[in-house]
Amino acid sequence: MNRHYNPWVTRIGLLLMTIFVCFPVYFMVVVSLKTPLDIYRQPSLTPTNPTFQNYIQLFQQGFLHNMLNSVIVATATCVVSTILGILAAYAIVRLRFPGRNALGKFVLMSYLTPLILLFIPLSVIIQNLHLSDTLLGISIIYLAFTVPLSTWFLLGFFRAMPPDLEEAASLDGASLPQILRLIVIPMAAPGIATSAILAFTMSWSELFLALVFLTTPNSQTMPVALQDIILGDVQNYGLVMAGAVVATIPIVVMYYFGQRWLVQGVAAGATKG
Amino acid sequence: MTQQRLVEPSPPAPTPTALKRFRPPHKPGSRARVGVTFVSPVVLILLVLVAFPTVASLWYSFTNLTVGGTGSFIGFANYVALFKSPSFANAAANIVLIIAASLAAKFVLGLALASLLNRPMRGRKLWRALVILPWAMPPFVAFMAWRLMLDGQAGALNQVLGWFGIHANFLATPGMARFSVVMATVWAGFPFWVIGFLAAMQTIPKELYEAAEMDGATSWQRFINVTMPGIRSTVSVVAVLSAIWTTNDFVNVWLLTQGGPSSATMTFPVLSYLDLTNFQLGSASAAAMITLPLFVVLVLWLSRSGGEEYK
Repeated sequence: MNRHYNPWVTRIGLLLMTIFVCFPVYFMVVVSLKTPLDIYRQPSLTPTNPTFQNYIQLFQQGFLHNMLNSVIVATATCVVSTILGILAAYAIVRLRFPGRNALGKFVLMSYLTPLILLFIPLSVIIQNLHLSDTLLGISIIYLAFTVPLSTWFLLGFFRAMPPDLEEAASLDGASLPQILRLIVIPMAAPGIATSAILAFTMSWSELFLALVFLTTPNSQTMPVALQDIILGDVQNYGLVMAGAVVATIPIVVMYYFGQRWLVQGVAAGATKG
Repeated sequence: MTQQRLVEPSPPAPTPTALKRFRPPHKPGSRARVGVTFVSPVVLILLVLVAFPTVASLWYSFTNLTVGGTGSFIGFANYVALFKSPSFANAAANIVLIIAASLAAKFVLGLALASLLNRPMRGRKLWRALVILPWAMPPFVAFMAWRLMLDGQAGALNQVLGWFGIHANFLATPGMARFSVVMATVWAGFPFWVIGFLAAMQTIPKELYEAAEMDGATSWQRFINVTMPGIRSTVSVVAVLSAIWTTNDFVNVWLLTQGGPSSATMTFPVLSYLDLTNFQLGSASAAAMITLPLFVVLVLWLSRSGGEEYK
């Protein structure tokens, strides 16, 4: 069968794909290593006089604080939505209670509902709770998309898990918390890890709601701080790209290690595209 | 895989009856109670943060609510004002010019690259990891990188075009700005299509291709008659999900053009956000709600043509 594939078509295709995929990322890194003057005066596709000046200046401007805000918000939403997602998904798949099928549909609908339909009433809710412009407020808001994501993703995962072991453990007299802790969670570890990575990434990368809800520099997460620079009067691309590189590294590392499970998750239709 | 290792030796496949028969411990009544307890936080969150806001948005769109003010019912006035605004025509046109164009391009590119990655090659896993890169990186980073790529002076594309003596104002003229938004949107989103198509292609039995080959089918004929029917249901799921996300994307247009020049790249999410920054919650809701019928149609289509998990 192999002889019917012209290897040159494969090679040229892969080359074009690599350029298309990598070039913007490469160029982002190049510009982050140039001085602000060189970016405009000496446009080039390779770094001229590479320097870490942009990175240093970025952190001197307090970018670490924005990063910390992002870490707090992403970690909080990720932990909460993963724990609640495990409990709810397990209950929907294995425990019989009235309305569980309807609930499964409700989770899917919530997962599909675009944020654009929700953000205005959410802003009113947060204002009434006096949580405007706080990390707690934005973390609660982010649950609107991370909880449906985690629950829906884990629903699919638990449905595919054979119940034999849980059955055996229950015959041996294990309690439900024991079954969850000793069997379900270890068996579902890849699914749980994937849904946690997805939830973390989505909160980490979220710009729209952060823009609406976080209005003062002190509470701003990384994406908002960077959009302020790129849409500012002086477009300092060097600074923005340095920030963009810093924001991307943790995500790419997570994706690299979680790759195998994530690809299955994506194939199953989880998250953005 | 993990599961098979755990249920050794000779794991019996979970039969539908086994799935039905199994009940975690405790009496039936307590089981239901535990179930309800387990789901209640999620139910509460979904009701407060998703269901209620959706309904409230719809209600707001019929009021003249402002930030800090109390709104009163004004019927379809927000929608009428929206229809009359110059941005509306552009936002409506861009559902086809930007959103549908992006989807079409993602489809073609996704299919082409999935077919490419489905060919025999060395280091296949590495190539697949590579193709995910644009999708894995935060979308705001992707669009910031593209804004830089498209910049008139510092941008890479103009440097390359400069070799041929061409200069393009990618973000400055209406036509080019739309084209640029589409290009960046496709770049940031196409890996989802590639992975989806690739997964579907791998479920097609090899025997089908071998049989087609025996009958003397060319590679193009095999593609049309074996591959395409095999991935049809995946295509429709991927397309609907991507259509929902692309229609409601804010970041792509916002970071590239903010809807400009002179609202040429305006979309409803950006329009809604701009209304919010003017404290007009009522008209912002109307601009957000205008795509609700489209969303409903897409979800219905998904529940009809998608697999079990979308029913």
